Amino acid sequence: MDMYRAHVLVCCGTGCTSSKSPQIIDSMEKLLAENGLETEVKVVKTGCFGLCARGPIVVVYPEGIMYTHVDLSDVKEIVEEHFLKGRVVKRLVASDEDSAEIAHSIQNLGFFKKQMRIALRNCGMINPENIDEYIAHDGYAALGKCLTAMTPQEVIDEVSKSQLRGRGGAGFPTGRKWSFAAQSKGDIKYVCCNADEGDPGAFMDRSILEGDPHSVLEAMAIAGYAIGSNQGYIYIRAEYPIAVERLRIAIAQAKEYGLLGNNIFGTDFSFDIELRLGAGAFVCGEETALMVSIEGNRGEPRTRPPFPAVKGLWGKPTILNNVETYANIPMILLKGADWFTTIGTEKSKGTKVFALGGKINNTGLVEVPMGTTLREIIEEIGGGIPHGKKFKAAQTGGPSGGCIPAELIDTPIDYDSLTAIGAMMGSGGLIVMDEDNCMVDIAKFFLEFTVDESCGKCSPCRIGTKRMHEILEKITKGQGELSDIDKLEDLCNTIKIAALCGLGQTAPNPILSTLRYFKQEYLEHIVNKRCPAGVCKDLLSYIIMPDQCKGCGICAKQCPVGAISGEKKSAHVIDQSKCIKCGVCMSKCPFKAIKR
Amino acid sequence: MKSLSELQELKEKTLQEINLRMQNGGTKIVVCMGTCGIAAGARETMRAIVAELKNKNVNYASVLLSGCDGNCEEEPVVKVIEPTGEETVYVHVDTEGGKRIVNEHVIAHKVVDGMTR
Repeated sequence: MDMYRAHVLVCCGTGCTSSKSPQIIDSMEKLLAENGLETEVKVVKTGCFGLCARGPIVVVYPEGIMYTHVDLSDVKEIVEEHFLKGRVVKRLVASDEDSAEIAHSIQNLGFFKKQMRIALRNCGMINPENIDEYIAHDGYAALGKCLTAMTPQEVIDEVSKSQLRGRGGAGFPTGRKWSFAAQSKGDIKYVCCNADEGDPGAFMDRSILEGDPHSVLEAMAIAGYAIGSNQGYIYIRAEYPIAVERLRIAIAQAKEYGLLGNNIFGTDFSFDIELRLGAGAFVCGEETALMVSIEGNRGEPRTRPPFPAVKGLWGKPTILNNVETYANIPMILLKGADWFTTIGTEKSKGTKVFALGGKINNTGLVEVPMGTTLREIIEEIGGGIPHGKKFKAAQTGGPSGGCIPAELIDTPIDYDSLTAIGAMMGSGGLIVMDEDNCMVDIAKFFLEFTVDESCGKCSPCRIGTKRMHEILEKITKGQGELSDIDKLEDLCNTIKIAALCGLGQTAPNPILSTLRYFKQEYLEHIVNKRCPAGVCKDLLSYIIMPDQCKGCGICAKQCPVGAISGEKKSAHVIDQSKCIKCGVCMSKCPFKAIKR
Repeated sequence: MKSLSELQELKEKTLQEINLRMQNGGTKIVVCMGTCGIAAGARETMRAIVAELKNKNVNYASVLLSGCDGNCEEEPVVKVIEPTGEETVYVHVDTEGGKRIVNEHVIAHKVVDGMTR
């Protein structure tokens, strides 16, 4: 055993990796060796800490000092000052925006204070490529407990009692799903993991797989024991190369230790897991399409019933759970359902991981108890909106979800409250929008996505989403008519009930919820041919205020198409027929004389 | 791995290695590592402390470095801070002294004779 006095944890999630954290590790190891510190200080690569906006992240223990925005050129200073002489490099230490003092420990940061980490418990704490570190954090102890001290029915009962609901979006009770599959007759059953995370702006599942892959493997083995299955499949998109790589390593290590394979813990139970890489089609996140894709066919959904618990993969009883759902399972079985039900709200127990994105200071990954309000997530954990702008709405659930307007910012986040206000929990993407976002444009963006991703099997989705997108396009171009709103509502309500699978049934949600809370904005586009947020280019015009223009000529020089003319020291004008509405003139005018 | 006890064994072994990440508020041993401290042998002292902690399987204490404390004449200076916040300052700590601090103070909870100010 090696004993180091300090561990340096370097984030190697996708975000920090793309901002060169692997090179930081190489350089740090080299510099530690040059200073004779390689036996004292150990560099550990970890998964995501969550504060992706300030990556690359480096955390030094035992102090718990968090360095942010670490550049390759900072490594020398950290090694020579902090590791050699014990002097913390203050300029790189994370601090809260409103605090002059540096945070002397990662636990004191506002970003972490309100969080509660169950699914992310090991992310940023352990090396995901080292099974020993997972075991040190009680890894595989839950599997051991189930196999040696519980019957399959007891495992299902415990999961049911915990009231855990599926974290993939719809919130179906996990225990009930398992119990259906357990009751289904069949010699062969399958356990599948849905890691086909496809919502724009969502990266919860990826981060769990990158930071703590064993927790998912352990939970799948537990599920296998509970329903009587010996084979698991993880369906993951090939666009997640780091997660795929770490899963491969994790599966190999678990097999080597005998924690996957035959006769686990010396019992009769055997379980194996294989990976299946998806090509990144959004529809393959739908359970029936996912299974069809695992079978090697084109990913298209089929009608239910029969539900997968009765007839799933290769016609056999199958359970399919989401990555985050699985990540909760070992903790529930170790600490008990009674512990889990103390967290959260009456009907939504436990925590939820959100990928915070959009107009927010602390872009990243957060995990909060159910029932936390949107205000707490945005203002306290997320650090508020950049540049002092006003919060307008948040979109949850991506293209299947809806928006939560500013007046509902105190809504507690759980499955039922969100459904009640026309949004949905979804898998956990949380996109924050400020006053500069046009809600019609947002709805159009999500519709464009569903039009692209519709598999085409059923006509309500294939044709309907296309028509809805066309109407939105028309409105944002200033060619909308009042009857378009009725047409949109009509289409939305029809597609909702007529589409074959979840993709189509939820595709109208972004339109319905923006219509519900921001109808005025639609009307403004249609009636006054104006985009209040100034996003829809066809409805914009830039005008120079003659009384404020000093005739400096800066705008004319900056204009890329030469649309601005005027004499020196007298008011300039913009030729609207040439103007491409790029907004450069407005941003460069020293006298703020240009309005849009 | 064929039994729970094997799993438990591996858990405890690894926990020892990664325990310093837990921030569970154990005893802190702070070694002053200013230029003066390094010149007086603080690095060797610190290494001896780390090695002794490992030898004795102590996992509730962490070793931290700090800059110069201002009393350069007394280097190497080592402070032991209990979880309660109580602080003991040891001066002129050589490698032998470092081992004594681990055995007598950290393990046996007694202030080491003749090494304080």
